[in-house]
Amino acid sequence: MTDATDFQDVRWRRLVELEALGEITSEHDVTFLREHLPQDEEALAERELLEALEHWGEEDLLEDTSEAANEADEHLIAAVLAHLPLAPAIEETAWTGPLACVPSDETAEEEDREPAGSRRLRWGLGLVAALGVLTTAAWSQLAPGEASADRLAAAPPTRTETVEAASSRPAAPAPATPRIATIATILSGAFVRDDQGSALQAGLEPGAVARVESARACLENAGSLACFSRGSRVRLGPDELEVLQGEGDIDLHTETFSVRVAGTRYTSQGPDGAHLAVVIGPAQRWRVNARGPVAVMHASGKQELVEGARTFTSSEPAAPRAVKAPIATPSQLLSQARRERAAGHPQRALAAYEELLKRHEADPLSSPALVAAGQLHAQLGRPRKALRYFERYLSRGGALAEEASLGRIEALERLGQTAAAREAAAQFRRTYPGSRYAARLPR
Amino acid sequence: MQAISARLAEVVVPESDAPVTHEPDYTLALAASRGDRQAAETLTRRVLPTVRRVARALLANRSDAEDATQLALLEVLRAAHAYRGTGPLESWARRIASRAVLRHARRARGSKPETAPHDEDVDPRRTMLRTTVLEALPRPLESYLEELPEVQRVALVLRHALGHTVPEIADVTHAPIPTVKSRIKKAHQELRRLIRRDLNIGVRPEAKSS
Repeated sequence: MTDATDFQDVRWRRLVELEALGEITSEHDVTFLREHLPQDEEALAERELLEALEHWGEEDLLEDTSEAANEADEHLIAAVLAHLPLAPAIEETAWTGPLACVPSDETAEEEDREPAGSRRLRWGLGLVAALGVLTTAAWSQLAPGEASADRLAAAPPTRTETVEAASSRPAAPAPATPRIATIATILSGAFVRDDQGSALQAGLEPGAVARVESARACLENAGSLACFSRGSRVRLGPDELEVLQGEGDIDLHTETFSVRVAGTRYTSQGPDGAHLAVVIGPAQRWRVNARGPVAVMHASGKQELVEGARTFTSSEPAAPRAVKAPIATPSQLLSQARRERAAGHPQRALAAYEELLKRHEADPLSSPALVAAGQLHAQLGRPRKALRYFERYLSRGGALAEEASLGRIEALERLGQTAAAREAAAQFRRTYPGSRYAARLPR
Repeated sequence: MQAISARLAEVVVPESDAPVTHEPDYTLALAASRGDRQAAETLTRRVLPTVRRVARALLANRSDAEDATQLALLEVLRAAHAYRGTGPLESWARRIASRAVLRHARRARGSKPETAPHDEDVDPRRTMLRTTVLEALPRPLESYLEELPEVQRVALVLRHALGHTVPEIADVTHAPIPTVKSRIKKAHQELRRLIRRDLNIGVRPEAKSS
């Protein structure tokens, strides 16, 4: 970064602070603040954070204009007005659908009596129920048009469900009569909502592909729960879920339902169920961490039973070893280490950090590498090595002294040096009286 | 006398003697405050998105936020007589709602056992749903907010997410203006420190995704 851009970023930081305090007066400053894109990595991250903060709390608020959300709003408004001391009794919306079997006047009484806290619990149940109905119907090979009210009415019509349907805003309130008729449309035309109300676009007929558009969304089938992160794509079948792309966690609780990844089929084999963590990245490289008992049928036809934990991966070219970069600069090594660490490869990250420390010890970037290497050694169960790195950092000093001191204390504890750990903890409390790490310290 | 004033301040938002600039809103609030059910309903509909946004921004738990939304809407209706039409209805409602939601949060904190959170509060899937993963930021926004002391986090959210002015934050949080400024400033400094730390030493996968 040049001095000029450095100066601009410094100015931007200063103005951010002034703006937060309501002390910006110049139009030029306001314009600069709005338009300047920081070059510095830290300032760029800060700008991103502040922009995200401006929308904090909005989430799906603006786009959630669905009928279900509107209906839930109506009930919230009704409940509020009903609590006004001088307001006359309000008409309760009639919920006559299969999930609303209790007469509406009883619902109104129930709401009047119930404190908000107890209603809250049932909202969550209602969401699961509603989502469950939708997804189960979909995965049970309901052809469009078959999702009749009778079928849906098979769900036990309890009083609880009635109030859930009548009082819930967040997500997918249980459908009322007018929408029961449209469920088939929903199945063929394609959406359910996750339990935060975000849209989960999905063609839900068997064989259709669903794409997760919310931060995370879950589907449920016969007790099995599959949750996927944004961008994941899955194909829903009557007795299996095929993961096409993305990342997800799946709890399998039935032998009649399987998960397919890259042609390999995984089926739970025990009463306690199985767990799969699936990642499918670009170029169809994939990894499945299976915790059994789970029956695995490979694409080749080979079958095996996994009892404990096992990882299956695509055959991928061996990743270049971090330490082999011939003439890597300190910043290249640091970036590489961060990437590996963020990707969940502590060994590779450690190799890059140690390479940096070995080849560029005098470089300023080697200081944070000492703390990171200490943390990674601690994470990998090597407290003695971790301790050495933390002490090396502390002997130099720097902005990460708080983290290094904490790491040192934890390493001492794990090495059984209790007295030294306590003494270091006492020193830590004196040096950092307001530290958020205080709760982790030994007494 | 001081206690009485403090209680009054809880329910009445002082409005200046400035001329009415939002006549229809003023008429609406006035009618609602006089028991006109239709007006109360219209007012509730108008402010619901604002109130819900306040609750969601200030409370991490979605169920708490829905409860707080309901309580805050009631507060807005009860305080309708105090609206003078000198500013947008939504801005006025936002102040009332912020105060009501913070009060709800304080009460909830006081009544909840610290060691036994409801299952719903610790369900990682629910936590994940609030995750906002960004490109340049090493960790999701909420994990940074969680690391801030409560008073700093609240001040920051009121300022940046809800757009309150510093004096409004002072009013809503019952803190002097210099204290509010200090909290916002410290929150910024701490966020910068946390970002620098993460960029320097990397982020563990669990920290990145939780």
